[in-house]
Amino acid sequence: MRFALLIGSRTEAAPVIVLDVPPDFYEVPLQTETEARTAAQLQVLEDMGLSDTGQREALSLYLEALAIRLSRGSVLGTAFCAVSLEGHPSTATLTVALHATGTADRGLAVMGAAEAMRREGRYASVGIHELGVHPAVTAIAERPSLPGDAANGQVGATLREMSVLVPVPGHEQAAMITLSTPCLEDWAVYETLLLDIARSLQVQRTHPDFIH
Amino acid sequence: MRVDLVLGFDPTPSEPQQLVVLSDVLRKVIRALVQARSELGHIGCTGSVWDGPVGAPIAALLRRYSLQMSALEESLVECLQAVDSWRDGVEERQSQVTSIVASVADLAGDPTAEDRRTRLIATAREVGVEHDRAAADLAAAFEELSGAVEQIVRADDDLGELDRALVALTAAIDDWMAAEAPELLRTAVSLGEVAGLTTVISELVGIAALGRKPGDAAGVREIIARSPGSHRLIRALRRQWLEVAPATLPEATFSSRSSGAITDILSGRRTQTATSDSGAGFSVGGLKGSGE
Repeated sequence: MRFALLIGSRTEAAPVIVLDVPPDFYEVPLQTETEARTAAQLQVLEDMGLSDTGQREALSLYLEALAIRLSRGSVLGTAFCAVSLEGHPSTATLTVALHATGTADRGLAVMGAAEAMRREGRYASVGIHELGVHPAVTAIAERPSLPGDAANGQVGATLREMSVLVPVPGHEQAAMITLSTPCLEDWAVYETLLLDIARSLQVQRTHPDFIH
Repeated sequence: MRVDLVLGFDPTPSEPQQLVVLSDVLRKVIRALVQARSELGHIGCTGSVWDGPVGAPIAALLRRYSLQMSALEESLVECLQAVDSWRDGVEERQSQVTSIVASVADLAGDPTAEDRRTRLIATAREVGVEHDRAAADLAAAFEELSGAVEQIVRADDDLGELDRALVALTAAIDDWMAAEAPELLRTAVSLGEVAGLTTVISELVGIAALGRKPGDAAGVREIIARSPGSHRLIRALRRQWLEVAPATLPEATFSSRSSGAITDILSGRRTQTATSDSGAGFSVGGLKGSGE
């Protein structure tokens, strides 16, 4: 699967950034056209091989609700995987946003973002890395499994998440990719995976509608 | 047999053990310098945080240090070679002197061997001259090292320049944070929230049991409120789906713990895309910006 994120206005010549994501991840359909979105949702259900009618309905409703929720805000895409990893079930989510950095100086954006994330205090660790040809910030945090859990006193599982901010070469934008998983025993695998995905970032001139 | 007692002088004074220690220390310093120089030389390359207008002056200064370190490294290597060559020479010369000393000792008490003894002692003195010449070469190598160190000390002015560049960088970072950090942190929080909401899918699929009813969480309640089938969604989210979890899950393609393997998978897929468009069995594209 490739995440293609459009930079700027939607024209044929608009650059897109492309991230390579393993085929294990199912992208939550976020198409704006209802028919296309519904078709893509059905495809996800098919690809996952779910046979229980109730479960298919539940997932279908949730995918649609999530699509409505994400139709506003800065998050451009989210995907999840449900796999067997070294003999046990494992799951993770991948979420992507494009963030305006206000500078084409990738070094400044990375150093500024790293410092801002350190000062914010939410992250257990913040680091600066060179991912191939990209300077990047990585930040790791742990939090309750759902927003609001802590507030209503429920004790849920812990989600560990890692965010990578990669400035887009030649643009005043950065891709922010977050991988989150409750499967802490698989953390090392997911951490490596996320860094590989971030390393794969490329800018292409092709409009996403023409990639097909 | 003590050389100075037999010959009246020691033509090849040296402490071999101390030379071994000196040689080891020089090797360690050279290794550390090579590593530091290569890291400094890498600064400012593509992919580095110093690869930009704000970091570039600092990278340029650090690369200048790299050049100075290169000169220092060259002098150290010459010193090491001089020490090693001195060690080898010392061994040879001391062995020659040992043999001379044994011969002179054998001649002790023999009044007819005066000429031979004189010749042997003269040979020992020649060895001593050679030894002094080698010592001078060694000293010259260390003189050169001292000169290289001196040059670096004189280049202290660069440190002031570096200091000013670092102050400018700190100011630029502070300005950037003042303008951009709030929005950046909002985006980060938002991504985390969406990641949490997407995790609910794993619960619906039955492969994650996070120990609570997702429908009771604030973020999910917001989603339910916007859903066209909210009452059915509430019911679905209150169910436990573990019993209908898929019997088998596909083996993760990224399960290898080696980063290279994942890279291979990704690059293999990229090649496939280029040659066979979207018919390679994985979807392409789909996420579009909001600026449409």
